[in-house]
Amino acid sequence: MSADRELPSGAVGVGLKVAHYRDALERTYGLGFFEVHAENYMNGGGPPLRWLSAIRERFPITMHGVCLSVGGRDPLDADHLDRLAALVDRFEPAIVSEHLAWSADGGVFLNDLLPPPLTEETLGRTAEHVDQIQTRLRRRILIENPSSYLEWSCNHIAEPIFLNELARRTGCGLLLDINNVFVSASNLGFSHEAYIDDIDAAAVGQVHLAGHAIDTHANVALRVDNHGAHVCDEVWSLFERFVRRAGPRPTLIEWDTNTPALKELAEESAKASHRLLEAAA
Amino acid sequence: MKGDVMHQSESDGVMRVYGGFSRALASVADIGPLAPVNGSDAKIAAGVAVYRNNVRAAYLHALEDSFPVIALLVGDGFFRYLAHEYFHAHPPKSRLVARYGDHVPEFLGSFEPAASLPYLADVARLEIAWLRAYHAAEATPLRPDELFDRIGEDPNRARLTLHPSMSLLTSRHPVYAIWLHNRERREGKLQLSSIGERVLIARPEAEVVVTPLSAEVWRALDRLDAGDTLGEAIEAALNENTAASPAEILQCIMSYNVIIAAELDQERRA
Repeated sequence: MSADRELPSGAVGVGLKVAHYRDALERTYGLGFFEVHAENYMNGGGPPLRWLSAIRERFPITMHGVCLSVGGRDPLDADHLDRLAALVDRFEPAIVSEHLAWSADGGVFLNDLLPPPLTEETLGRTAEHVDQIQTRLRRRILIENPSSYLEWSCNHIAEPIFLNELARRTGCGLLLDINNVFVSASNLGFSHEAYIDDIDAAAVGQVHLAGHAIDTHANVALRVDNHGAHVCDEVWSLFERFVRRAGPRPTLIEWDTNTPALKELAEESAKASHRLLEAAA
Repeated sequence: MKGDVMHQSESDGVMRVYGGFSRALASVADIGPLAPVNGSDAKIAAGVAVYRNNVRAAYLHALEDSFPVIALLVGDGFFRYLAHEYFHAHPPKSRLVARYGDHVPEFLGSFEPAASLPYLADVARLEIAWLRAYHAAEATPLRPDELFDRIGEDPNRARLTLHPSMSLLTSRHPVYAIWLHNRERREGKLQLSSIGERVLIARPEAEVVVTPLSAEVWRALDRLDAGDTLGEAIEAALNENTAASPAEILQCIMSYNVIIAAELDQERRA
Protein backbone atom coordinates (compact mmCIF):
# COMPACT_ATOMS: atom_id res chain seq x y z
CA MET A 1 0.00 0.00 0.00
CA SER A 2 1.68 3.17 -1.15
CA ALA A 3 -0.67 5.89 0.10
CA ASP A 4 -0.04 7.22 3.60
CA ARG A 5 -2.02 5.95 6.56
CA GLU A 6 -2.27 9.29 8.38
CA LEU A 7 -4.67 11.84 6.91
CA PRO A 8 -3.80 15.54 7.10
CA SER A 9 -6.22 17.32 9.46
CA GLY A 10 -7.56 19.47 6.62
CA ALA A 11 -8.07 16.60 4.14
CA VAL A 12 -11.42 16.50 2.35
CA GLY A 13 -12.82 13.43 0.66
CA VAL A 14 -15.95 11.89 -0.81
CA GLY A 15 -17.76 8.57 -0.50
CA LEU A 16 -16.62 6.17 -3.22
CA LYS A 17 -19.43 5.01 -5.53
CA VAL A 18 -19.38 2.23 -8.14
CA ALA A 19 -20.18 4.73 -10.90
CA HIS A 20 -17.04 6.72 -10.01
CA TYR A 21 -14.44 3.93 -9.98
CA ARG A 22 -12.92 4.74 -13.35
CA ASP A 23 -13.02 8.50 -12.89
CA ALA A 24 -11.45 8.15 -9.45
CA LEU A 25 -8.43 6.41 -10.98
CA GLU A 26 -8.03 8.65 -14.00
CA ARG A 27 -8.54 12.07 -12.36
CA THR A 28 -7.80 13.50 -8.94
CA TYR A 29 -10.06 16.56 -8.57
CA GLY A 30 -7.98 17.57 -5.54
CA LEU A 31 -9.54 14.89 -3.37
CA GLY A 32 -7.59 13.91 -0.26
CA PHE A 33 -9.24 10.51 0.35
CA PHE A 34 -12.15 8.24 -0.49
CA GLU A 35 -14.45 6.67 2.08
CA VAL A 36 -15.89 3.20 1.48
CA HIS A 37 -18.67 1.30 3.21
CA ALA A 38 -16.90 -1.79 4.50
CA GLU A 39 -19.92 -4.01 3.79
CA ASN A 40 -19.69 -3.35 0.04
CA TYR A 41 -16.32 -5.08 -0.05
CA MET A 42 -16.94 -8.14 2.13
CA ASN A 43 -16.65 -10.58 -0.77
CA GLY A 44 -14.10 -13.20 -1.77
CA GLY A 45 -13.15 -11.21 -4.85
CA GLY A 46 -14.68 -9.48 -7.84
CA PRO A 47 -14.64 -6.14 -9.63
CA PRO A 48 -15.38 -3.90 -6.59
CA LEU A 49 -12.37 -5.29 -4.71
CA ARG A 50 -10.21 -5.02 -7.84
CA TRP A 51 -11.17 -1.36 -8.27
CA LEU A 52 -10.66 -0.59 -4.60
CA SER A 53 -7.18 -2.14 -4.66
CA ALA A 54 -6.23 0.05 -7.61
CA ILE A 55 -7.71 3.20 -6.04
CA ARG A 56 -5.98 2.43 -2.73
CA GLU A 57 -2.64 2.50 -4.55
CA ARG A 58 -3.25 6.18 -5.29
CA PHE A 59 -5.35 7.48 -2.41
CA PRO A 60 -5.75 7.05 1.32
CA ILE A 61 -9.10 5.53 2.17
CA THR A 62 -11.31 5.63 5.24
CA MET A 63 -13.50 2.64 6.07
CA HIS A 64 -17.03 3.12 7.36
CA GLY A 65 -18.89 0.11 8.79
CA VAL A 66 -22.67 0.20 8.74
CA CYS A 67 -23.82 -3.23 9.97
CA LEU A 68 -22.14 -4.10 13.29
CA SER A 69 -25.11 -2.87 15.37
CA VAL A 70 -22.71 -1.46 17.99
CA GLY A 71 -25.57 0.08 19.99
CA GLY A 72 -27.69 -3.08 19.97
CA ARG A 73 -28.48 -5.48 22.82
CA ASP A 74 -27.55 -8.58 20.76
CA PRO A 75 -23.92 -9.70 21.09
CA LEU A 76 -21.72 -8.46 18.25
CA ASP A 77 -21.72 -10.74 15.20
CA ALA A 78 -18.23 -12.28 15.50
CA ASP A 79 -18.18 -13.43 11.85
CA HIS A 80 -18.99 -9.94 10.68
CA LEU A 81 -16.29 -8.47 12.89
CA ASP A 82 -13.81 -10.97 11.39
CA ARG A 83 -14.81 -9.84 7.90
CA LEU A 84 -14.21 -6.21 8.89
CA ALA A 85 -10.83 -7.11 10.40
CA ALA A 86 -9.76 -8.84 7.17
CA LEU A 87 -10.64 -5.73 5.15
CA VAL A 88 -8.85 -3.43 7.58
CA ASP A 89 -5.73 -5.62 7.39
CA ARG A 90 -5.84 -5.66 3.61
CA PHE A 91 -6.52 -1.98 2.88
CA GLU A 92 -4.95 -0.25 5.91
CA PRO A 93 -7.50 2.56 6.02
CA ALA A 94 -6.51 5.87 7.64
CA ILE A 95 -9.72 5.80 9.69
CA VAL A 96 -12.15 3.02 10.66
CA SER A 97 -15.58 4.11 11.86
CA GLU A 98 -18.94 2.68 12.93
CA HIS A 99 -22.18 4.08 14.34
CA LEU A 100 -23.88 4.74 17.63
CA ALA A 101 -26.81 2.75 16.30
CA TRP A 102 -28.47 -0.66 16.31
CA SER A 103 -29.61 -2.43 13.20
CA ALA A 104 -30.34 -5.95 14.42
CA ASP A 105 -32.34 -7.47 17.25
CA GLY A 106 -33.17 -11.06 18.09
CA GLY A 107 -31.19 -12.20 15.04
CA VAL A 108 -33.28 -10.18 12.57
CA PHE A 109 -31.17 -7.69 10.63
CA LEU A 110 -33.13 -4.50 9.87
CA ASN A 111 -30.49 -2.83 7.69
CA ASP A 112 -31.12 0.66 9.08
CA LEU A 113 -29.20 2.73 11.63
CA LEU A 114 -31.60 3.04 14.57
CA PRO A 115 -30.74 5.29 17.52
CA PRO A 116 -30.26 3.33 20.76
CA PRO A 117 -31.94 4.25 24.04
CA LEU A 118 -29.63 6.76 25.77
CA THR A 119 -29.30 5.24 29.24
CA GLU A 120 -26.47 4.17 31.54
CA GLU A 121 -27.28 0.55 30.72
CA THR A 122 -26.93 1.07 26.95
CA LEU A 123 -23.80 3.15 27.47
CA GLY A 124 -22.19 0.26 29.36
CA ARG A 125 -23.10 -2.31 26.72
CA THR A 126 -22.08 -0.06 23.82
CA ALA A 127 -18.72 0.59 25.51
CA GLU A 128 -18.20 -3.19 25.80
CA HIS A 129 -18.95 -3.55 22.08
CA VAL A 130 -16.55 -0.75 21.15
CA ASP A 131 -13.84 -2.36 23.34
CA GLN A 132 -14.45 -5.68 21.60
CA ILE A 133 -14.14 -4.10 18.13
CA GLN A 134 -10.99 -2.13 18.99
CA THR A 135 -9.40 -5.24 20.50
CA ARG A 136 -10.22 -7.33 17.43
CA LEU A 137 -9.03 -4.66 14.97
CA ARG A 138 -6.03 -3.74 17.16
CA ARG A 139 -6.73 -0.06 16.56
CA ARG A 140 -8.87 2.87 17.57
CA ILE A 141 -12.20 3.37 15.82
CA LEU A 142 -14.48 6.39 15.55
CA ILE A 143 -18.17 6.25 16.46
CA GLU A 144 -20.67 8.39 14.54
CA ASN A 145 -23.73 10.14 15.96
CA PRO A 146 -26.99 8.86 14.38
CA SER A 147 -29.83 10.78 12.75
CA SER A 148 -33.08 10.43 14.69
CA TYR A 149 -36.78 10.60 13.83
CA LEU A 150 -38.10 9.48 17.23
CA GLU A 151 -37.08 10.07 20.85
CA TRP A 152 -37.35 7.15 23.30
CA SER A 153 -39.08 8.02 26.58
CA CYS A 154 -36.43 6.13 28.54
CA ASN A 155 -33.60 8.38 27.28
CA HIS A 156 -31.97 10.21 30.15
CA ILE A 157 -28.47 11.07 28.88
CA ALA A 158 -28.10 13.79 26.24
CA GLU A 159 -26.59 12.31 23.08
CA PRO A 160 -23.36 14.40 22.97
CA ILE A 161 -22.71 13.56 26.64
CA PHE A 162 -23.36 9.87 25.91
CA LEU A 163 -20.84 9.99 23.03
CA ASN A 164 -18.23 11.91 25.05
CA GLU A 165 -18.51 9.37 27.85
CA LEU A 166 -18.28 6.47 25.37
CA ALA A 167 -15.05 7.98 24.02
CA ARG A 168 -13.70 8.53 27.54
CA ARG A 169 -14.43 4.95 28.65
CA THR A 170 -13.17 3.15 25.55
CA GLY A 171 -10.57 5.50 24.08
CA CYS A 172 -12.53 5.50 20.81
CA GLY A 173 -12.80 8.69 18.80
CA LEU A 174 -15.95 10.34 17.50
CA LEU A 175 -17.11 10.87 13.95
CA LEU A 176 -19.20 14.04 14.07
CA ASP A 177 -21.87 13.96 11.37
CA ILE A 178 -23.02 17.56 11.34
CA ASN A 179 -25.95 16.90 9.03
CA ASN A 180 -27.16 14.20 11.45
CA VAL A 181 -26.95 16.70 14.33
CA PHE A 182 -29.02 19.21 12.36
CA VAL A 183 -31.57 16.62 11.23
CA SER A 184 -32.02 15.15 14.71
CA ALA A 185 -32.16 18.56 16.42
CA SER A 186 -34.82 19.70 14.00
CA ASN A 187 -36.88 16.49 14.34
CA LEU A 188 -36.61 16.11 18.12
CA GLY A 189 -36.53 19.81 19.05
CA PHE A 190 -33.14 20.35 20.67
CA SER A 191 -30.49 22.99 19.94
CA HIS A 192 -28.10 21.94 17.18
CA GLU A 193 -25.63 24.63 18.25
CA ALA A 194 -25.58 23.43 21.86
CA TYR A 195 -24.99 19.85 20.63
CA ILE A 196 -22.02 20.95 18.47
CA ASP A 197 -20.60 22.94 21.41
CA ASP A 198 -21.07 20.06 23.86
CA ILE A 199 -19.18 17.48 21.80
CA ASP A 200 -15.69 16.77 23.14
CA ALA A 201 -13.69 18.33 20.28
CA ALA A 202 -10.50 16.50 21.25
CA ALA A 203 -12.26 13.17 20.64
CA VAL A 204 -13.51 14.09 17.16
CA GLY A 205 -11.36 12.41 14.49
CA GLN A 206 -13.48 13.05 11.41
CA VAL A 207 -16.44 15.10 10.22
CA HIS A 208 -19.24 13.99 7.85
CA LEU A 209 -21.30 16.46 5.83
CA ALA A 210 -24.30 15.57 3.66
CA GLY A 211 -27.56 16.87 2.30
CA HIS A 212 -31.00 15.77 3.48
CA ALA A 213 -34.64 15.89 2.40
CA ILE A 214 -37.82 17.12 4.06
CA ASP A 215 -40.57 14.48 4.07
CA THR A 216 -44.11 15.26 5.08
CA HIS A 217 -46.25 12.55 6.64
CA ALA A 218 -49.83 13.48 7.60
CA ASN A 219 -48.91 17.20 7.92
CA VAL A 220 -45.83 16.50 10.03
CA ALA A 221 -42.61 17.55 8.30
CA LEU A 222 -39.45 15.64 9.22
CA ARG A 223 -35.92 16.15 7.98
CA VAL A 224 -34.72 12.84 6.53
CA ASP A 225 -31.02 12.05 6.24
CA ASN A 226 -31.05 10.69 2.67
CA HIS A 227 -27.57 11.84 1.54
CA GLY A 228 -29.26 13.01 -1.64
CA ALA A 229 -28.64 16.76 -1.96
CA HIS A 230 -26.16 19.60 -1.52
CA VAL A 231 -25.14 20.42 2.04
CA CYS A 232 -27.61 23.03 3.32
CA ASP A 233 -26.58 26.50 4.61
CA GLU A 234 -27.38 25.75 8.25
CA VAL A 235 -25.13 22.67 8.16
CA TRP A 236 -22.29 24.70 6.58
CA SER A 237 -22.67 27.25 9.41
CA LEU A 238 -22.56 24.52 12.05
CA PHE A 239 -19.48 23.07 10.37
CA GLU A 240 -17.74 26.45 10.56
CA ARG A 241 -18.83 26.82 14.18
CA PHE A 242 -17.24 23.47 15.02
CA VAL A 243 -14.01 24.16 13.07
CA ARG A 244 -13.60 27.61 14.71
CA ARG A 245 -13.66 25.92 18.12
CA ALA A 246 -11.91 22.63 17.34
CA GLY A 247 -9.69 23.30 14.33
CA PRO A 248 -9.73 21.32 11.10
CA ARG A 249 -10.59 17.61 10.88
CA PRO A 250 -10.60 15.25 7.90
CA THR A 251 -13.99 15.98 6.34
CA LEU A 252 -16.15 13.84 4.10
CA ILE A 253 -18.99 14.70 1.73
CA GLU A 254 -21.55 11.85 1.66
CA TRP A 255 -23.87 11.66 -1.35
CA ASP A 256 -25.49 8.23 -1.74
CA THR A 257 -28.89 8.94 -3.35
CA ASN A 258 -29.02 10.31 -6.92
CA THR A 259 -25.25 10.71 -6.70
CA PRO A 260 -23.89 13.23 -9.23
CA ALA A 261 -20.70 12.82 -11.27
CA LEU A 262 -17.46 12.69 -9.30
CA LYS A 263 -16.53 16.15 -10.59
CA GLU A 264 -19.63 17.68 -8.97
CA LEU A 265 -19.03 15.76 -5.75
CA ALA A 266 -15.48 17.05 -5.74
CA GLU A 267 -16.80 20.61 -6.11
CA GLU A 268 -18.90 20.09 -2.97
CA SER A 269 -15.82 18.83 -1.15
CA ALA A 270 -13.84 21.84 -2.41
CA LYS A 271 -16.45 24.06 -0.72
CA ALA A 272 -15.84 22.12 2.48
CA SER A 273 -12.09 22.63 2.09
CA HIS A 274 -12.55 26.36 1.53
CA ARG A 275 -14.82 26.82 4.56
CA LEU A 276 -12.58 24.65 6.66
CA LEU A 277 -9.52 26.76 5.88
CA GLU A 278 -11.35 30.03 6.50
CA ALA A 279 -12.91 28.92 9.76
CA ALA A 280 -9.66 27.44 11.07
CA ALA A 281 -7.64 30.57 10.22
CA MET B 1 -33.44 -2.39 47.13
CA LYS B 2 -34.57 0.88 45.67
CA GLY B 3 -31.55 0.81 43.31
CA ASP B 4 -32.58 -2.62 42.06
CA VAL B 5 -36.09 -1.44 41.32
CA MET B 6 -34.78 1.56 39.38
CA HIS B 7 -32.38 -0.60 37.43
CA GLN B 8 -35.23 -2.99 36.68
CA SER B 9 -37.39 -0.20 35.29
CA GLU B 10 -34.57 1.30 33.22
CA SER B 11 -33.82 -2.11 31.78
CA ASP B 12 -37.49 -2.68 31.05
CA GLY B 13 -37.76 0.58 29.06
CA VAL B 14 -34.59 -0.23 27.12
CA MET B 15 -35.73 -3.75 26.31
CA ARG B 16 -39.07 -2.45 25.06
CA VAL B 17 -37.26 -0.16 22.64
CA TYR B 18 -35.23 -2.97 21.12
CA GLY B 19 -37.86 -5.69 21.18
CA GLY B 20 -40.93 -3.55 20.49
CA PHE B 21 -39.51 -1.27 17.85
CA SER B 22 -37.78 -4.02 15.88
CA ARG B 23 -41.06 -5.98 15.91
CA ALA B 24 -42.94 -2.89 14.72
CA LEU B 25 -40.50 -2.36 11.83
CA ALA B 26 -40.61 -6.00 10.76
CA SER B 27 -44.40 -6.38 11.00
CA VAL B 28 -46.69 -6.65 7.98
CA ALA B 29 -49.15 -4.05 9.25
CA ASP B 30 -48.39 -0.36 9.82
CA ILE B 31 -48.39 -0.36 13.60
CA GLY B 32 -47.09 2.07 16.23
CA PRO B 33 -43.58 1.92 17.67
CA LEU B 34 -44.52 -0.68 20.37
CA ALA B 35 -42.16 1.20 22.68
CA PRO B 36 -42.60 4.38 24.76
CA VAL B 37 -41.77 7.42 22.63
CA ASN B 38 -41.99 11.17 23.36
CA GLY B 39 -44.12 13.52 21.27
CA SER B 40 -47.58 13.87 19.77
CA ASP B 41 -49.30 10.93 18.08
CA ALA B 42 -48.86 12.58 14.66
CA LYS B 43 -45.12 13.12 15.21
CA ILE B 44 -44.66 9.55 16.39
CA ALA B 45 -46.56 8.21 13.38
CA ALA B 46 -44.37 10.30 11.05
CA GLY B 47 -41.16 9.08 12.73
CA VAL B 48 -42.21 5.42 12.58
CA ALA B 49 -43.12 5.92 8.89
CA VAL B 50 -39.60 7.17 8.11
CA TYR B 51 -37.98 4.15 9.74
CA ARG B 52 -40.38 1.68 8.14
CA ASN B 53 -39.74 3.26 4.76
CA ASN B 54 -35.96 3.11 5.30
CA VAL B 55 -36.07 -0.61 6.13
CA ARG B 56 -38.40 -1.49 3.25
CA ALA B 57 -36.51 0.64 0.72
CA ALA B 58 -33.15 -0.86 1.75
CA TYR B 59 -34.42 -4.38 1.13
CA LEU B 60 -36.32 -3.47 -2.03
CA HIS B 61 -33.11 -1.99 -3.45
CA ALA B 62 -31.15 -5.06 -2.36
CA LEU B 63 -33.50 -7.26 -4.40
CA GLU B 64 -33.51 -4.86 -7.36
CA ASP B 65 -29.71 -4.96 -7.38
CA SER B 66 -29.62 -8.76 -7.22
CA PHE B 67 -32.49 -9.53 -9.62
CA PRO B 68 -32.57 -6.93 -12.43
CA VAL B 69 -34.04 -9.42 -14.91
CA ILE B 70 -36.82 -10.58 -12.56
CA ALA B 71 -37.64 -6.89 -11.97
CA LEU B 72 -37.95 -6.31 -15.74
CA LEU B 73 -39.99 -9.47 -16.26
CA VAL B 74 -42.64 -8.68 -13.63
CA GLY B 75 -42.60 -4.84 -13.72
CA ASP B 76 -42.08 -2.32 -10.91
CA GLY B 77 -45.41 -2.63 -9.14
CA PHE B 78 -45.41 -6.41 -8.97
CA PHE B 79 -41.74 -6.43 -7.96
CA ARG B 80 -42.50 -4.16 -4.99
CA TYR B 81 -45.32 -6.48 -3.94
CA LEU B 82 -43.05 -9.49 -4.35
CA ALA B 83 -40.29 -7.78 -2.29
CA HIS B 84 -42.77 -6.98 0.47
CA GLU B 85 -44.07 -10.56 0.62
CA TYR B 86 -40.54 -11.96 0.52
CA PHE B 87 -39.44 -9.72 3.41
CA HIS B 88 -42.14 -11.21 5.61
CA ALA B 89 -41.68 -14.80 4.38
CA HIS B 90 -37.89 -14.65 4.91
CA PRO B 91 -37.05 -12.04 7.57
CA PRO B 92 -33.46 -10.91 6.84
CA LYS B 93 -30.85 -12.54 9.06
CA SER B 94 -27.61 -11.88 7.20
CA ARG B 95 -25.60 -8.69 7.39
CA LEU B 96 -24.38 -9.43 3.88
CA VAL B 97 -27.17 -7.78 1.97
CA ALA B 98 -25.99 -9.40 -1.30
CA ARG B 99 -27.05 -12.72 0.28
CA TYR B 100 -30.51 -11.46 1.25
CA GLY B 101 -32.09 -12.84 -1.93
CA ASP B 102 -30.72 -16.37 -1.53
CA HIS B 103 -34.21 -17.79 -0.88
CA VAL B 104 -35.88 -15.96 -3.78
CA PRO B 105 -35.89 -18.97 -6.19
CA GLU B 106 -37.69 -21.28 -3.75
CA PHE B 107 -39.98 -18.41 -2.75
CA LEU B 108 -40.91 -17.74 -6.40
CA GLY B 109 -41.39 -21.47 -6.96
CA SER B 110 -44.36 -21.44 -4.61
CA PHE B 111 -45.50 -17.81 -4.98
CA GLU B 112 -49.09 -18.20 -6.17
CA PRO B 113 -49.45 -14.71 -7.76
CA ALA B 114 -46.51 -15.52 -10.10
CA ALA B 115 -47.71 -19.03 -11.01
CA SER B 116 -48.34 -17.95 -14.63
CA LEU B 117 -44.58 -17.35 -15.06
CA PRO B 118 -43.22 -20.82 -14.20
CA TYR B 119 -39.69 -19.95 -15.41
CA LEU B 120 -39.19 -17.13 -12.86
CA ALA B 121 -37.59 -19.35 -10.21
CA ASP B 122 -34.94 -20.59 -12.65
CA VAL B 123 -34.22 -17.06 -13.93
CA ALA B 124 -33.72 -16.10 -10.27
CA ARG B 125 -31.28 -19.04 -9.87
CA LEU B 126 -29.34 -17.74 -12.85
CA GLU B 127 -29.24 -14.23 -11.37
CA ILE B 128 -27.98 -15.58 -8.02
CA ALA B 129 -25.28 -17.57 -9.84
CA TRP B 130 -24.32 -14.38 -11.70
CA LEU B 131 -24.03 -12.43 -8.42
CA ARG B 132 -21.98 -15.19 -6.77
CA ALA B 133 -19.64 -15.30 -9.75
CA TYR B 134 -19.27 -11.52 -9.64
CA HIS B 135 -18.22 -11.58 -5.97
CA ALA B 136 -16.37 -14.94 -5.98
CA ALA B 137 -12.76 -15.38 -4.94
CA GLU B 138 -10.16 -14.68 -7.63
CA ALA B 139 -8.28 -17.53 -9.31
CA THR B 140 -6.15 -17.61 -12.44
CA PRO B 141 -7.23 -20.04 -15.20
CA LEU B 142 -4.55 -22.32 -16.67
CA ARG B 143 -3.40 -21.48 -20.18
CA PRO B 144 -3.66 -24.35 -22.70
CA ASP B 145 0.13 -24.90 -22.62
CA GLU B 146 0.12 -25.00 -18.80
CA LEU B 147 -2.72 -27.51 -18.88
CA PHE B 148 -0.89 -29.64 -21.42
CA ASP B 149 2.30 -29.62 -19.30
CA ARG B 150 0.34 -31.00 -16.36
CA ILE B 151 -1.89 -33.61 -17.97
CA GLY B 152 -0.68 -34.09 -21.56
CA GLU B 153 0.91 -37.43 -20.66
CA ASP B 154 -2.49 -39.06 -20.07
CA PRO B 155 -5.46 -36.63 -20.20
CA ASN B 156 -7.98 -39.33 -19.29
CA ARG B 157 -6.39 -39.63 -15.84
CA ALA B 158 -6.56 -35.86 -15.22
CA ARG B 159 -8.39 -34.42 -12.24
CA LEU B 160 -9.24 -30.76 -12.74
CA THR B 161 -10.02 -27.99 -10.26
CA LEU B 162 -12.63 -25.64 -11.65
CA HIS B 163 -12.89 -21.91 -11.02
CA PRO B 164 -14.50 -20.91 -7.67
CA SER B 165 -16.84 -18.54 -9.50
CA MET B 166 -18.34 -21.32 -11.61
CA SER B 167 -21.97 -22.51 -11.40
CA LEU B 168 -23.83 -24.94 -13.63
CA LEU B 169 -27.54 -24.58 -14.05
CA THR B 170 -30.12 -26.72 -15.78
CA SER B 171 -33.70 -25.70 -16.40
CA ARG B 172 -36.82 -27.11 -18.03
CA HIS B 173 -37.29 -23.60 -19.47
CA PRO B 174 -35.27 -21.57 -22.03
CA VAL B 175 -33.78 -19.71 -19.09
CA TYR B 176 -30.70 -18.44 -20.93
CA ALA B 177 -32.71 -16.94 -23.79
CA ILE B 178 -35.07 -15.19 -21.34
CA TRP B 179 -32.21 -13.90 -19.21
CA LEU B 180 -30.15 -12.62 -22.16
CA HIS B 181 -33.07 -10.89 -23.86
CA ASN B 182 -33.90 -8.92 -20.70
CA ARG B 183 -30.39 -8.41 -19.37
CA GLU B 184 -29.43 -6.72 -22.62
CA ARG B 185 -32.81 -5.01 -22.84
CA ARG B 186 -33.26 -6.25 -26.38
CA GLU B 187 -36.15 -4.86 -28.35
CA GLY B 188 -39.01 -6.91 -29.74
CA LYS B 189 -40.81 -10.05 -28.70
CA LEU B 190 -38.79 -13.05 -27.72
CA GLN B 191 -39.70 -16.21 -29.65
CA LEU B 192 -39.39 -18.90 -27.01
CA SER B 193 -38.94 -22.56 -27.67
CA SER B 194 -40.27 -24.94 -25.06
CA ILE B 195 -36.91 -26.63 -24.79
CA GLY B 196 -35.00 -26.51 -21.53
CA GLU B 197 -31.53 -25.02 -21.38
CA ARG B 198 -28.26 -25.70 -19.58
CA VAL B 199 -26.04 -22.80 -18.60
CA LEU B 200 -22.49 -22.13 -17.36
CA ILE B 201 -21.94 -19.02 -15.23
CA ALA B 202 -18.35 -18.05 -14.34
CA ARG B 203 -15.99 -15.12 -13.94
CA PRO B 204 -12.57 -16.32 -15.09
CA GLU B 205 -11.33 -12.72 -15.40
CA ALA B 206 -13.04 -9.39 -14.61
CA GLU B 207 -16.34 -10.06 -16.40
CA VAL B 208 -19.04 -12.59 -15.56
CA VAL B 209 -19.60 -14.86 -18.56
CA VAL B 210 -22.90 -16.70 -19.07
CA THR B 211 -22.83 -19.44 -21.72
CA PRO B 212 -25.48 -21.91 -22.95
CA LEU B 213 -24.14 -25.46 -22.98
CA SER B 214 -24.91 -28.61 -24.94
CA ALA B 215 -26.16 -31.57 -22.88
CA GLU B 216 -22.84 -33.39 -23.27
CA VAL B 217 -20.62 -30.45 -22.27
CA TRP B 218 -22.88 -29.66 -19.31
CA ARG B 219 -22.61 -33.28 -18.16
CA ALA B 220 -18.83 -33.34 -18.53
CA LEU B 221 -18.40 -30.13 -16.50
CA ASP B 222 -20.83 -31.38 -13.88
CA ARG B 223 -18.86 -34.63 -13.48
CA LEU B 224 -15.51 -32.79 -13.38
CA ASP B 225 -16.91 -30.47 -10.72
CA ALA B 226 -17.97 -33.54 -8.72
CA GLY B 227 -14.35 -34.83 -8.84
CA ASP B 228 -14.41 -37.35 -11.70
CA THR B 229 -11.35 -37.74 -13.91
CA LEU B 230 -11.49 -36.25 -17.38
CA GLY B 231 -11.86 -39.75 -18.84
CA GLU B 232 -14.86 -40.51 -16.60
CA ALA B 233 -16.42 -37.11 -17.31
CA ILE B 234 -16.14 -37.56 -21.09
CA GLU B 235 -17.61 -41.02 -20.82
CA ALA B 236 -20.61 -39.63 -18.91
CA ALA B 237 -20.93 -36.87 -21.53
CA LEU B 238 -21.04 -39.41 -24.35
CA ASN B 239 -23.97 -41.09 -22.60
CA GLU B 240 -25.88 -37.84 -23.14
CA ASN B 241 -25.02 -37.74 -26.84
CA THR B 242 -23.37 -40.76 -28.42
CA ALA B 243 -22.63 -38.77 -31.59
CA ALA B 244 -20.48 -36.21 -29.73
CA SER B 245 -16.73 -36.11 -30.20
CA PRO B 246 -14.51 -36.35 -27.09
CA ALA B 247 -11.99 -33.95 -28.64
CA GLU B 248 -14.68 -31.35 -29.29
CA ILE B 249 -16.05 -31.66 -25.74
CA LEU B 250 -12.56 -31.09 -24.34
CA GLN B 251 -11.90 -28.17 -26.66
CA CYS B 252 -15.20 -26.62 -25.66
CA ILE B 253 -14.43 -26.97 -21.94
CA MET B 254 -11.00 -25.44 -22.39
CA SER B 255 -12.46 -22.47 -24.25
CA TYR B 256 -14.41 -21.43 -21.11
CA ASN B 257 -11.23 -20.69 -19.13
CA VAL B 258 -12.52 -22.32 -15.96
CA ILE B 259 -9.74 -24.83 -15.23
CA ILE B 260 -7.49 -23.44 -12.50
CA ALA B 261 -5.51 -26.54 -11.52
CA ALA B 262 -4.92 -29.99 -12.96
CA GLU B 263 -3.00 -33.09 -11.98
CA LEU B 264 -2.84 -36.70 -13.02
CA ASP B 265 -4.68 -39.08 -10.76
CA GLN B 266 -1.92 -40.84 -8.78
CA GLU B 267 -3.97 -43.83 -7.55
CA ARG B 268 -4.68 -45.01 -11.06
CA ARG B 269 -1.04 -44.85 -11.99
CA ALA B 270 -0.07 -47.23 -9.17
